[in-house]
Amino acid sequence: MNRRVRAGLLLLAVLFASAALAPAISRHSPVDQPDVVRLQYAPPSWNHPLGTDFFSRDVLSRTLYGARISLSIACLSVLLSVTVGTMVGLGAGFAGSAVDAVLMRLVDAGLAIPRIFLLLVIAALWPRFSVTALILVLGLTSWFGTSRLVRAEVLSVRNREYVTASRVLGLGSSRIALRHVLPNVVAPILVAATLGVGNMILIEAGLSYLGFGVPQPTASLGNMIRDGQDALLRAPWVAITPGVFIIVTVLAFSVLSDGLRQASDPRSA
Amino acid sequence: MSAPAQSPRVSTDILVEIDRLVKEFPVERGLLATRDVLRAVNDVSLALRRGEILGLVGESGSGKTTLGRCAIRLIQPTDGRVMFEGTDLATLSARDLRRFRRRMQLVFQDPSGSLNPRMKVGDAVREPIEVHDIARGSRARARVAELFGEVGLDPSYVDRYPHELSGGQRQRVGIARALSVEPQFVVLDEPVSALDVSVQAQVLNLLSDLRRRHALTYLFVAHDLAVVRHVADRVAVMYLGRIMELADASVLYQRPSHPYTRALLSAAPVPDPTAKRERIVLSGDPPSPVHPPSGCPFHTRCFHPRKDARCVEERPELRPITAGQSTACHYADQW
Repeated sequence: MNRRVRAGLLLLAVLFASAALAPAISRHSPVDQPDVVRLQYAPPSWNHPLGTDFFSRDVLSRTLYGARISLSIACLSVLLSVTVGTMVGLGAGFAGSAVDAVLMRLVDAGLAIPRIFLLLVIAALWPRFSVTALILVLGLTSWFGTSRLVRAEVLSVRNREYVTASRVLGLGSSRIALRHVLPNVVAPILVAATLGVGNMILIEAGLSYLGFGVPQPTASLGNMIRDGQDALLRAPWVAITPGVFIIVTVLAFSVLSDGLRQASDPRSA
Repeated sequence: MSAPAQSPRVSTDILVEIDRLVKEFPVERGLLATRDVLRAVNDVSLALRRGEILGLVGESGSGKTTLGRCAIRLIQPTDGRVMFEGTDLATLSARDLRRFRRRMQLVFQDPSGSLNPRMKVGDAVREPIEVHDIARGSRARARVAELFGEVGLDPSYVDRYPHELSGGQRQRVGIARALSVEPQFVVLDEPVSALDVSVQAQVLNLLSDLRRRHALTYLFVAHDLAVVRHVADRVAVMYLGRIMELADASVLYQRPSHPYTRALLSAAPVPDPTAKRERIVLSGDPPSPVHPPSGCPFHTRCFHPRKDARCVEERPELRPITAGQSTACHYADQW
């Protein structure tokens, strides 16, 4: 395995494990407010290794539990977006002509609207998102790029001789698309999806920061940064901890994605 | 070397009849998108007898591959018909055509490109067997092992990926896959051109054996006459989308009657250094099939001593010259 892939996977394993094992790592609940007067913005201590926030909640616990939420949202919405994007791209690229034209104009329209505005409009129309709704909204507004990518790959693969060979053998179209075309376009999809998770964490953080993402008191990395910005000088740990977590996660995903791209390039093999 | 033995199975019974086939491709060029038409195959009629190997020879761009692909309706001809045992292929619905594919197959030139790189070669051969409901499960797997044996591959190779095999082995997989559906007719599209010379002969022998064992009919597309010399029963020579000469192999190699065939034959190496040979070198490149010459398509490069104005004006039809030999040349019998 490629070195970057290994480094990315290792780093992600640590990050995901710490989120998954949150209750074992930190004794505090992420939402408990033990003493809003004396423990407000308490600096890091033995009891609260990364300090507390305005409501005296433990920052380490909130970061780990917030990471659970943020990572789940990012992974699931990317899964949704990649699934939809792959299906649309495969359909458009394989069917060609009219189907392709209609789908791709739709994608053009989708790509023409800046995603953050699209999300803000949806958020304005539908004020309180549950986490599930957030995953749906994020996933369903971010597949346009993937479908473009998949379509381009499909267009090149469908003219390969092994696809012609399948046709000569009398195989059906859906079988050819799923068994002969799709497996040969998986590599770029994987690369894009990996990079997509990092991006999605940033978008979810941005949305939560703007107050449209994960609703309080549930912690997410984005809404923690928002909580921390009021006391950035007095209690920098509140915003910096989730910020660092985001940076490291995004970095890990882009290293992994880069490694996957290298590994999938036959010239490097 | 000896002339090809006439196969006893070759009869006058027609399996595939290509009738006045035309295939045009649109060519767009330049900013103003002037539409030109490339006639890859121009009014070709050819009948394949059951059990024969018909060699189809021509330079690149002569339309031989296009003709081969039209013959199994992998591409739709612009005009003309292909009759397969009395069925007009153009009349088949998409669904019926898929079922009909069992009866006609194609072996590709490039054995690497024609195998899915992410599919084990055993699965590639098993897939059509299951899709066409020839056998399923363990019986299908047994059939794959049997086919591997037939094409000279160790059955343990079923779990290999194409990149783990050599070029010759991959071509054997391609042949096994074509045979998996038990076809009657196989178009061989330059099946040995991509292989090492040492492997070419083995694959040619294999194809010959398989024909005999399964009573197959081949349309063997090749770019030089040497490849089909020892396997073909009859040979058709194509130039600019038309057939220039069609003859029994034994006749064609002994007494080529079209100047183009003569030129092609003189270009083939002869394994006898003392043999006296007259090398005919054609001048220039073949003209563009978008703007073919008037009259005889070959007149721009012809070296026939009798060549005259008639060749420029009037296109010679393919006509019988001697028994088992037809030629499209006004002066074929006046050498």
